[in-house]
Amino acid sequence: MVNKMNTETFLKVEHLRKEFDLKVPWIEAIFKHKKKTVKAVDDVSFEIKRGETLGIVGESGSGKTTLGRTVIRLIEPTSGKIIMDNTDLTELRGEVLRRARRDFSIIFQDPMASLNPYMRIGKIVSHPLKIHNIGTKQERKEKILSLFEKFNLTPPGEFYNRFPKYLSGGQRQRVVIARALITNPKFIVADEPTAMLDVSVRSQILKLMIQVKKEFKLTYLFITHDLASAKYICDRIGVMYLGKIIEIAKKEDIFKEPLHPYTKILMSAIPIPDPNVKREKLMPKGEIPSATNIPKGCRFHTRCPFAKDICKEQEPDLRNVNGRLVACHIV
Amino acid sequence: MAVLSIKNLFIEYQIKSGAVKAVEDVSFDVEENESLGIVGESGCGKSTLGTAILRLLPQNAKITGEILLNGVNLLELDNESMRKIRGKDIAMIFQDPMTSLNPIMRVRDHFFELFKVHNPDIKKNEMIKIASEALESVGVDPKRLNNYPFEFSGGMRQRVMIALAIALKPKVLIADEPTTALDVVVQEQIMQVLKNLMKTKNMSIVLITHDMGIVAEMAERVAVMYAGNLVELGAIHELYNKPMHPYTRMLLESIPNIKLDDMDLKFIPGSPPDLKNPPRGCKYYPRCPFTKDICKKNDPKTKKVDSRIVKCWIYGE
Repeated sequence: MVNKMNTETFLKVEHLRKEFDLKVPWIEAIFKHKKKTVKAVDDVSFEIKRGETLGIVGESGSGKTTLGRTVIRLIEPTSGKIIMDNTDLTELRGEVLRRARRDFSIIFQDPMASLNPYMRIGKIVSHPLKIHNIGTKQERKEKILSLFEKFNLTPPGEFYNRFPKYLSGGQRQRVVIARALITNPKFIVADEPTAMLDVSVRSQILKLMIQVKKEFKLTYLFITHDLASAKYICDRIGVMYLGKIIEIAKKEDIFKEPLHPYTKILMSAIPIPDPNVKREKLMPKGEIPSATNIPKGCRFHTRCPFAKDICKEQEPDLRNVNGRLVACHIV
Repeated sequence: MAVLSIKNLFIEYQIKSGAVKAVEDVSFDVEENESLGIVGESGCGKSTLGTAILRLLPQNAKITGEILLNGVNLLELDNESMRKIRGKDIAMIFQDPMTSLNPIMRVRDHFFELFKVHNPDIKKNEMIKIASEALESVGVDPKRLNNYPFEFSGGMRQRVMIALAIALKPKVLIADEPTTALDVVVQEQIMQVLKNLMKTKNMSIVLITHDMGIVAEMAERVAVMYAGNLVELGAIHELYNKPMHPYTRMLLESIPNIKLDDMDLKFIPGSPPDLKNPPRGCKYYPRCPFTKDICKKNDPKTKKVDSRIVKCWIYGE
């Protein structure tokens, strides 16, 4: 989807880091000045154009969710800049930040855990409007009802008064999306929005997300470990491994010709729903290392089937290879 | 000869407001050293069926029919005899490896508990030996017997679960969504483990999943379930190349295949029926594009068409 809007940078993330401190026995902390940190997001930079969908894929534990939450400051970054529409979000404080929040929102993975079981659907969705003082009570209700209509939560009046437990997984996720869109935001972080859903429901939700993206002129950061969904919805895809983006490119390029060995492994691990296809699988060695103890040099070298000596010594930077960004010595 | 044979199985959950017909008249065989996939949307009775085979369903489930394991009807056994069969002749692995291990027990104690049920006099050395072998066969270092579950990653926990299930060399392993909670790379590793076990341990696997991709790679035959009914059963290649039941066709079309450039997603309109109050006639007719009058009136019989079993009016009386 290349159009005019795609030329303007909407979100620019620069050298974003998030480290979590771990508990160290006090005696070691005082006398040996030991500190243990998890580098969940380790120097990540990327840009998203207005109206674009950037996908972030990777194994569990690669820092995808932390990245998504840090970008909209649900988690405070350790350092780095998040520039959205020429405003640096990291510099906003207190009331100013709170007011800015109507411009961005998040869709969580588990639609059951992200809806308060003691609140009726109508109240859940109107909550953001109330917080941001938008409209009168009556206007809010009308707005919600028309949104429900659009989202196929019909009859809307009935859904308005229902409790979350009476809704199916797909309906709940549509409520979560409605809540995220109710303040007319410009930017949505979707954190595995379809991971808990059935295949057929998954397609419905993805279609809905594409439809509302056009209608509300949204920009998405779409986090997933499901590469098929990523292929369907994203324009560009960034692959994360242990807190770092190791490859970022247009989705066609990533799927047709993955460059980084890790991306190749991810692609070959996807089951193909065709029993006639037999293929060579590329498997990584062992398990993903702990984020408290990131390997020296290239962080993937411990599992990489193609690792060379240089990979153990030097950390590769994201560099331009034929117009694509990849962090690998051997490419 | 079939190791496991399910005959006319009906399962109903008795609840306050009535009865939920979770499984209705399901029959199939699992041959020796075979992998059978059971697929369908959530709420179609896959897990109920799998759990029923081990008789692990809650009290309010009423089961009728026959579940024959090597010719013995499991539904007629008393609880004590059933306990002796679980883990030894037939075992199960569950979807969520995080919640199916006891967090305050070391991994080795999980094994010891299992071994003592089947042989109260077993020596500790021997238990450690069998447990180590089981862990090795799934790619876990036997040194980790002394670890607690929280010291393992999700994929490793699932391997431990599989090791527990296969330690006593059961003939049949029921795997209920074994990789759904895991990501693609770990999923692939677990699949390899299961494939290896089938080759080396002469074991049959019943693989319950909603992922048609996994079934395509793992199973030799596939059973498709819809609203508690078995709607189609056939060999994997035939079923994928030429699905007969409209539901199977929709199920296959709704999976995004990343190898294809055409990425238009199709989905099955509507949702599965409420099993407390299912539609009359064929349960799929409200969502079926080929509905005829007869579909709304009468439930189709299960028919054999060539080597395939299908339950649909399209294929005649």
